[in-house]
Amino acid sequence: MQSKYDLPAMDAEVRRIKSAVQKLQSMGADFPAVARNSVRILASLKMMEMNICDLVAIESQTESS
Amino acid sequence: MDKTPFWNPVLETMDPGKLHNLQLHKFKRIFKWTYDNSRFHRGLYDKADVKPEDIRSFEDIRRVPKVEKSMMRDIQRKDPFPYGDMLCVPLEQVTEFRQTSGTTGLPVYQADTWQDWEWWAECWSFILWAQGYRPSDRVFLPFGYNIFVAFWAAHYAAEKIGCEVVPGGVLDTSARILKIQELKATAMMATPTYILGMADTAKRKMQIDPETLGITKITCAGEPGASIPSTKQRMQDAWNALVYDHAGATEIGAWSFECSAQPGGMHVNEAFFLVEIEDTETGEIIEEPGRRGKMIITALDRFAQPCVRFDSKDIIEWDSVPCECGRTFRLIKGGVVGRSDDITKVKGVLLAPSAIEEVVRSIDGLGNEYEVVVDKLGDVDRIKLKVELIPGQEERAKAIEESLKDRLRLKTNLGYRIEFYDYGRLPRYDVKAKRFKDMREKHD
Repeated sequence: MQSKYDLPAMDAEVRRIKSAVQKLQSMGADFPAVARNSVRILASLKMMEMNICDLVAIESQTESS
Repeated sequence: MDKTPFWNPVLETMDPGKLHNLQLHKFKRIFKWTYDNSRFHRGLYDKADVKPEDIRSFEDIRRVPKVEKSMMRDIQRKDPFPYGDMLCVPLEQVTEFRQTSGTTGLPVYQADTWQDWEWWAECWSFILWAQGYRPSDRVFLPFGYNIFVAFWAAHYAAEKIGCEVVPGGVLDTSARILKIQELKATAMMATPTYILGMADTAKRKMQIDPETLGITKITCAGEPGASIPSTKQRMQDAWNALVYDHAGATEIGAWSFECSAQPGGMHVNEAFFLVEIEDTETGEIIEEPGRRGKMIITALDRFAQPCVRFDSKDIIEWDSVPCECGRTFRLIKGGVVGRSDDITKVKGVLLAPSAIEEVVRSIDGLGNEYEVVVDKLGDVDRIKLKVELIPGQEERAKAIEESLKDRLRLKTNLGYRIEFYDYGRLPRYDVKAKRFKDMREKHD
């Protein structure tokens, strides 16, 4: 991927954080402050996916085809 | 970071071929999601015999049935109340209710989850960053926040960008002007009608020159004025600020924007939306610049109440010239030039109300307000144009009338009866103005 930004590395970080927040969310299922704040963080992470991860996904598809 | 002209430097400068791949990838995803989760859409697509696995190319996308606003009206208020079976998520995930203004009929209800609301703000972040909004800005919103989506997402986006946001909600116009002055706001957002109205109030009622207030940029929404050159010029002159247009809708999202290069058109955010232009006569998809048609739009990342191939009725055309700003997102020339259901036939001639506005606001000596009344005498259509003379221009009335008639004839191929009113007599509007009145139905 020709870009001055390391998108694959950013993509990996987003996935790592998402996984951590999902884990936190399941740990806080009966803990509203944890569960509801997790929903908000996941919504923000979705914006990261739209800005970074979707791009990386189509680049990977192009490279493998 | 503040010097970067792009909110997303990769997406906004992407090679057009890659951008199309991204759109196709995202269309497949939203189509499958919608097919799997919305009973309304699944029924529509089954009837047309289009399944998610059938979508492999842009040609295949054109087989997907369009959704019209009337369909949304038909299903809403049914279960799950009040959105109907278009909803793709459980009701308890919905955090936002908005409704359309009902300008063209019964209002349509729109559900958003928190993720979709974040997406709204993200769409607006592309807009505001492109128009030069930065964390150093103090943004004033002179708008009565309510049940309509207008400026809510802009507010959240300005916060996301890092601006300081001042909500000018229930204040009256004079109080808003004083607050802008007191706080030294640097930017604001409103409808073109209200931007001009505020300037008028400042000058005539408060003896404050709006040019001195320090507003450097203004973002408009709700009406086409900021893409009508004469209206844009009046706003820029009144405030000594750069005025930018954007286009969005409750059931779509904020899909296009003018950038700081002011290219005489608006960029479509092609990373988040798929815009198709359809010939209104043949239904053919128009790919080439310079041919007008109506917009069919898909919001590629909106999930709770999706917008897939929505027939927006907005009339647009692709521009042939790339923008000097460096974005590869295509431009629509002159912004949204009208709506297919606004354009009406008068004396057999197609008339877009925005063409009249362009002429009225290009003439020195006329105020900003006007009203058009179309009626019928016997079988013959008549058009009356009501305008206001700026105080002190009374002696020029005859010359202004002749100039107005000539330019209107040239622009619209129609003759008008002109009526002059004292300054301040015509109605003023805070939100969407209703200046075009077609009385002909009453004669039929």
